[in-house]
Amino acid sequence: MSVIALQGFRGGTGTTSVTAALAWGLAQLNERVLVIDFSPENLLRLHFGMPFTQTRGWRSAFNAGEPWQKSAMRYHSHLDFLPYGNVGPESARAQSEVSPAFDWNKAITQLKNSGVYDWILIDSPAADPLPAQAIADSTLVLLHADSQSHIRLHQRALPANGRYLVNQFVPSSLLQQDILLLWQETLPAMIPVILHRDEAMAESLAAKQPVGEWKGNSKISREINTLANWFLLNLRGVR
Amino acid sequence: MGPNIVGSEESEPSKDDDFFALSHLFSLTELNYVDVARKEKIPQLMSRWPLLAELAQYDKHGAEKN
Repeated sequence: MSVIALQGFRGGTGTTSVTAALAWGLAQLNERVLVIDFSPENLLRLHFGMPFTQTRGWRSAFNAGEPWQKSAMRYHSHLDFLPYGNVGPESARAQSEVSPAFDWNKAITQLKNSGVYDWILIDSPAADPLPAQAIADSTLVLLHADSQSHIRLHQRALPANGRYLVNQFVPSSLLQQDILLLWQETLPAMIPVILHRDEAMAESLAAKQPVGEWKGNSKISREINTLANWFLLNLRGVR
Repeated sequence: MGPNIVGSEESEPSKDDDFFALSHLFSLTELNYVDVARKEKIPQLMSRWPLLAELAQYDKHGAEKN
């Protein structure tokens, strides 16, 4: 079993939609996937059709003293997801600071021993990426090929076992072309699959589906499938 | 080196041999070509975008000065 954390280099890089799409892509390759939302914004679940008003999730279960396993939901025969949960009227940040830390090391060990999953994907918030990095075998940092990201590359180190994944690439932009080219020449930890900006990806959240289910023939769905195959070749743990 | 545990049949190129040879040759020439073209574009994009040139200089010298 491989544990992969996906995090934005900053907010708004499209990490949640890519995580949901990748989980679907791996499930289509007959891999057994659990995808976990680590973000108090609790958005991942909406890609899997969950009603907005439903409050269940691992964090809310934990805060209520209930077993976290019960908050997992089955979306597809090979794809389960674990929402963060709605933690109440207080601001989510205050809640996570006040409540005791959830022991993810223990939970991941339990999941590994159960042998139920080939992959655990974690949708990790850009503002608080360390908890997911601490338990992940690999971390994917999603970024746009823009000037801000390029500056930040000079200010921040890549997490251990980290790789960069370019998302929402716009090939008609000369600046993005140039930045991508520079990165391909100089950044050693770049995943060779580039994800292009595609309206189908934006639509998929509105449709409450992973993009591969929403528009399987879109360019972005084919890129996600390529990425899923790259995962199998490069990041897959021992079955 | 350990003992050769690969049987001669397995180490022999199979029916995919032609494809393998072709793809190997193709990818070699293609990759070299792409790499050269890319490298030539780096100075162009540096002259186009002052920020990229400045940060490239920082990569070379900045860490030593600070």
